[in-house]
Amino acid sequence: MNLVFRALADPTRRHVLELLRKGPMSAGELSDHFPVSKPTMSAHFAALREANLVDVQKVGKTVLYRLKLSVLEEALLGFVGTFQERAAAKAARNTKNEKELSHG
Amino acid sequence: MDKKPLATSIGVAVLLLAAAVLLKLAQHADLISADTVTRATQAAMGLMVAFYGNFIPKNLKPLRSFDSERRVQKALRISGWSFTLAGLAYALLSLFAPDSIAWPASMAVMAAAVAISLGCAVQCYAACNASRRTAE
Repeated sequence: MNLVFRALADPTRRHVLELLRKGPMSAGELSDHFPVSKPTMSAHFAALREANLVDVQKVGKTVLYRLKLSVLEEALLGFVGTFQERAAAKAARNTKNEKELSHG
Repeated sequence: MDKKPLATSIGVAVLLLAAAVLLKLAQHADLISADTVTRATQAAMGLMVAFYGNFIPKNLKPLRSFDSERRVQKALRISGWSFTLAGLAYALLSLFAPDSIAWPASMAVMAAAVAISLGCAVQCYAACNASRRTAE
């Protein structure tokens, strides 16, 4: 379960899981959605695989990923996403308020 | 054959039987009433349904086409959620609902989960078959 929490803590990995909800995708298709290097994406994929949240299949030269989320893991994904979005929105609001106060 | 799911299932079955025996022994020793034994056993069965329902979406296997896989993934997801929620509702109703409501309500919840899952499975099968025929 620790591996699952660690995997879900990262926004990129959560986004990968959300993309895979639509259906299986290749590593290249998934990487196209993120402005990060291939080794970084590979590390994210490895974390998801280690937590048993995705299934990997090699078809020729293509590596296919498919979702392997249990109901509990999916609920956790939803909760973590909602709370992090709220926290980010609150932080953005606070920063904006501080800027407005400092400008008088 | 993967032995892990089989071992888990046997473990769960043994746990359920052991719990039932312990509850019966407690009833014979006048520690709990017959009603409590029935409710606790029903709740354990509800939790077992929720436990297995939780893992239904994890059973996605590679298929011939991505379209079929998408449909199967959606059907497994809906079935998983419906059985997990129905199992939890069944357990809670069995434990806390009044006698007159507990049985019909818990059965209705379970029947709804079965109907949803069957509906999804039939729809998925029909759509996959139709797309295969079109491809041929």
